Amino acid sequence: MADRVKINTESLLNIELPFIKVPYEQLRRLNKLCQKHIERDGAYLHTALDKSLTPTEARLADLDAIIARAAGLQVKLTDLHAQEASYVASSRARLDYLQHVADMATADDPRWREYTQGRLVRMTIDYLLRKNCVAAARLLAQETGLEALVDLALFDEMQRIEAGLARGSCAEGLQWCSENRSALKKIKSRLEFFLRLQEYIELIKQRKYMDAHAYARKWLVLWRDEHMQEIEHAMGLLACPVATTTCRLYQAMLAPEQWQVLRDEFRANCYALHSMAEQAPLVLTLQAGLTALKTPHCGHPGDIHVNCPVCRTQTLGTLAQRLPQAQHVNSTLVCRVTGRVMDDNNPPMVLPNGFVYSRDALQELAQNGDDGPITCPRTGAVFRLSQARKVFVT
Amino acid sequence: MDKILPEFEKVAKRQKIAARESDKTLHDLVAQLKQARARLAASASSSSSSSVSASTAPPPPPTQDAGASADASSPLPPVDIAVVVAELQKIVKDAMAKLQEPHKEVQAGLYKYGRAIEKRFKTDVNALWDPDVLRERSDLLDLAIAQTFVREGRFALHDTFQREASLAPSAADDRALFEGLFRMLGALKAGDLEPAWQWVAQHSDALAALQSTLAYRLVSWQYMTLLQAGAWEPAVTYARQQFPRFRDAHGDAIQRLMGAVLYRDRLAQSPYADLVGPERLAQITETLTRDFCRLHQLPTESLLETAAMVGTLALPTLIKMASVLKPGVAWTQTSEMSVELPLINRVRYHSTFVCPVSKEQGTDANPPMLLTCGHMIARESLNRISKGQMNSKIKCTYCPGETIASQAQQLYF
Repeated sequence: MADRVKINTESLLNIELPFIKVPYEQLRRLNKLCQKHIERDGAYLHTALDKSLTPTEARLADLDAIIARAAGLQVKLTDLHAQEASYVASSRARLDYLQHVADMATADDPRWREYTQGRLVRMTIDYLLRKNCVAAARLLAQETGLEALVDLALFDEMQRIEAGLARGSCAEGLQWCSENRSALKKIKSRLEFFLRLQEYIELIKQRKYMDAHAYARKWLVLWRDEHMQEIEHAMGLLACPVATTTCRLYQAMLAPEQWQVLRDEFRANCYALHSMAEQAPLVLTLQAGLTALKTPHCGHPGDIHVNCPVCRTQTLGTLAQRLPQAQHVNSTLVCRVTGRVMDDNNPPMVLPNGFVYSRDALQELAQNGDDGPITCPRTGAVFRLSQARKVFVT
Repeated sequence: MDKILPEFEKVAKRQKIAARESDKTLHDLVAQLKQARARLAASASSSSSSSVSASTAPPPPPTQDAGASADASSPLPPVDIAVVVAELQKIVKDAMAKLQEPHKEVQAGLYKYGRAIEKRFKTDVNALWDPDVLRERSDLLDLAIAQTFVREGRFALHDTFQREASLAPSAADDRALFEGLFRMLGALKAGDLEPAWQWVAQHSDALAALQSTLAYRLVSWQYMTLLQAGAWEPAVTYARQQFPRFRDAHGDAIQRLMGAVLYRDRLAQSPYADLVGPERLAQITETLTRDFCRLHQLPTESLLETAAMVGTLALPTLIKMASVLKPGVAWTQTSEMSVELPLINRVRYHSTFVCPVSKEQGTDANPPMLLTCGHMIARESLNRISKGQMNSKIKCTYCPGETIASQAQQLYF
């Protein structure tokens, strides 16, 4: 009874986009960062040389600073290159992983089981990371040896930035925006504006109106085309009594909950940037799986199967309650005794009481040889083997 | 994949080059800067001793090797700073250009690689997800995950997860049970069969009812272990004691086990090598785990793994379906799927009866009925065809056979 069900590997690999995209985006970010450092330090070296080495006097201390800066650039680049190399390595591991399964054709291929088991671990780690269960995620990655295939570092980075937001600092978030500017532009991100707006609001909260005004002129106006209305609302804050305002709009802008909104916005942006699904793929996959498994009999007393996920009302079965049941075009009969699907090689047989078992099962149940008495396992009724009739599955 | 891999390899190669070259460029730059500093320092000390400022000093004599002369103790002829600065500016400029170049190469490579990625992988799964399914129910999924950790023997991981996700402490009732199992498995791995033997002895009746092969497998492993240790006499004595009770079920296999005595000195190179191989131990582990779960009426397969495997198999069909669905319509909001999802036989746990006439799935209210010819139709279809007349003759939709409606018999799968 081979499971020669066809696998649409082509389409399956299609949904692995974030798997490849996460290390790719990191490579892009690091490459940009290298170039930025070179530009910035290069410019610094030029002006510093001009300034320090005036024709009248060689200021050796300044030259020392220049040398230190050049050496510093070397250290920074070495570090960035090492990070790049680790993402090159994980990209390679991931591409090899997909390449290994790219030509699977049917579900009886041993690689299919390997792939789905690995995929479950990857999805579980992703689910744990999204829930901020970082230690558990790390432990599972270690125990299964799949560290290169999961995004522990990405979530570390996300946590670092979110920790900044949690303590009222936009600096980490703004730096992240500048490191990923072009990619964020592509997904039409509004995160940077919201971060700037929050910094402005914080100045208002401290009643530094002049600073706030200057900040708005410097930063907020950059988004006048996209966010004119928000900017106008923000400017309204200049004229509002911070502590006593009764205006809902201003209250909302000044509320500490804004930081949570920013954290959510950052998360959403980070997922979108790496083409990661908004919700955990584990949930989507289980949704699909439970639906495909769900029959009208699942969970019914007397029909419960210990290995059926939908019958497990304690956990997955309850999740399946909100899902549709699978559609079937043909009947498939499963023998209660052997647990296997009945087919032409082992056809279904009906006892006089209407209960159906496979022929193999009945022969096994028949005591004392060929026409021995058979006790129906579900009703306890006793028949002879010769009383069983063949049933045709259509 | 064939289009992506070459692009990726280009990126990988260029990244390596960029790392190597920029390290060298900066190393050289720092060295040159240090050299210049040494020259200037030497020149400054000599000029300050002669109390002439550097700029008014006479032009330097034909250049010497600056590094070497810096080490020399004798004061050097003064250096023209303007020249040094101009030199340094040029060195810095060249170095920066040299640094940028390989990084631009990497950037260009990444651009092409990114294009290839987007061409190859392109499904947006967000459309498939229905947020309502798990709403306020994520605790159940957490529980399912925690239980999976327990049944895989990942107890430390289970505890970490429980702490981090603040799960209710009752999350794993089976924990003590599985700890017992994994103690046995751990001992087995270390060559100690005793805990497994004790368990088999404790549950011998229940295991016999399950037609367990565990005891036989343990005995044969023990026998092979004795044989492998070179003690063939104790091995044969052991075999005489133990094997007879398994003769009915495993006669042939026992004969083969006894045959292994002939090769006792070189079992690993003999035709009996598989009897002492790691696969054997893996089989025992598997049998023990399986029988343990069956005995305690626990799933023998991980439910999460089954659901995830079936789900992975079903995703391509769902993706295709979602692409033709109206936007805003969630596929989960129906009572039955509108397409058939692929399912492998191994995970079919329930019979599904589909009436060949109405194409509906059988239910308690509309059960399958057996016609006298051996074909099945749903009761509602039978009633429709017989127009509710219990004594009317109806013709089978599949064969020429005729059945009197009242003689059709309800089936139970």
